[in-house]
Amino acid sequence: MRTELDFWHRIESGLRASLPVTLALLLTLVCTLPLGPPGLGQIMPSLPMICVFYWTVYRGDLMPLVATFVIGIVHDSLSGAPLGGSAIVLLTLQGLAARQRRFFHGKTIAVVWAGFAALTAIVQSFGWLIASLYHLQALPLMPAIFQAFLTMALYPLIALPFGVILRELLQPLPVAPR
Amino acid sequence: MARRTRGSLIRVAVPIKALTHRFGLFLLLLSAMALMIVSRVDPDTAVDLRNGVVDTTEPILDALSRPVESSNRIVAEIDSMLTLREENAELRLAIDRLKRWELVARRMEAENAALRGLLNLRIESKPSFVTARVIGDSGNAYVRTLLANVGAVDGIVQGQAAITGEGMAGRVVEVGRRASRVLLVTDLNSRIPVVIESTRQRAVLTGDNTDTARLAFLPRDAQVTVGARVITSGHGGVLMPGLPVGVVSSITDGVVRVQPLADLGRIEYVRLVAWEGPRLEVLPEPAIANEAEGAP
Repeated sequence: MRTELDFWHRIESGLRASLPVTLALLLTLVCTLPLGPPGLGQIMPSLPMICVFYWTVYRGDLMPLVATFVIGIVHDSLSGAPLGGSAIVLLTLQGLAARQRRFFHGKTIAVVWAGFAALTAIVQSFGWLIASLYHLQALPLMPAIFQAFLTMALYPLIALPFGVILRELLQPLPVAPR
Repeated sequence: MARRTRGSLIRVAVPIKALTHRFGLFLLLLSAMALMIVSRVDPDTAVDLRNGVVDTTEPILDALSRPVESSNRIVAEIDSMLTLREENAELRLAIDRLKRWELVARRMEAENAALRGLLNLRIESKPSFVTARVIGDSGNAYVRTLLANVGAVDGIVQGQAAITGEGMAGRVVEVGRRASRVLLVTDLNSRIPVVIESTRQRAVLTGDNTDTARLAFLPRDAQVTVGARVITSGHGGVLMPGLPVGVVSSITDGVVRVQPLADLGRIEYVRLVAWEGPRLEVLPEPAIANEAEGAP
């Protein structure tokens, strides 16, 4: 009896623990859908960037590097971009965010949002550089800039529901004070 | 014995685990870079991996794109209800104009048939169409592609043209089992052999990730005017000739830019054109010999 309970408990906590990666994959699919306004395809906000950043800051243990890599590959596969480009951008974002985890801990959403905006600007420039290197020519800058701004603008819209999920279904990971 | 193997395994595995933990980010970044290099050097391998992912996610994308499409349609419906009056007047004018064109087209069709009969012209194969729903936009700032919900099982092959009601949108570059990728004419990698309809001058329509495409390899003395229509030439035997692609929108410093006829930003359905181009086939030796004998 007890082992059975144990079994279901383990399944439940396993499902909860897989939420960040599952949500990130789902939003990666959503951001390749042909949504509303014409021309949005090129400047569609990068939802995987928001997911990877958020979960790295609040539950880094539930967003392993390998998962980020896979999310990047899925995004590249669906968008038709050279494989690996998004993976590099997302992993860089994760690496940078993980270093700032202590700084972000316990700060208001506005502070974290500003941090996200700064990191987005850095990794988006990096991504543009990589794509330009791949094609051996400078790509148009405007779509990349628009995409970065839209991604920054959309952050709270995704972060707020994620915050509810974090509080209700997962526990924020305690971070040792410096 | 077994215990010793296990012990040595642990002795090896533990440092490896520590190492991967320490350098995980570095290793994954390296593999991502390696993947990029592979997809640059040997695109076929990358395409297989990509098609695997696309085929796996196709049912989810297909399901997710349906409500999106219906909501887009509702917005469009409301939009068209608001402009019903003006649209009606416009359509009446268009019908009048098109009726006159219909007369011209009928006369030309008859004339064409008669002349073909006279010339004994070998008619090229007729195209067939497969209509597909767009289930994916690129969602990436550096590429311009679409995902359509038909693939190899529907008879789609690489190189087919994708057209909308207005004109050519792009061509099929990757074919999965149930989904295929259309490279839009404005993408950086798109090259389409075209002719200018009125002057029959050849050129290559080259995308550069902006909203218009550029005419490359146009002769220096070519006479091009703004508003000239650009159609596929069929050179190379891959694309069907005569598909309308765009109109010349600007000529500055010898750079001719073409505005695609298809509204690439809001495509919901595309038609993929299957067309068997002329092919050179090497006849087997005996066949050639027989033909030579048969000839007087």
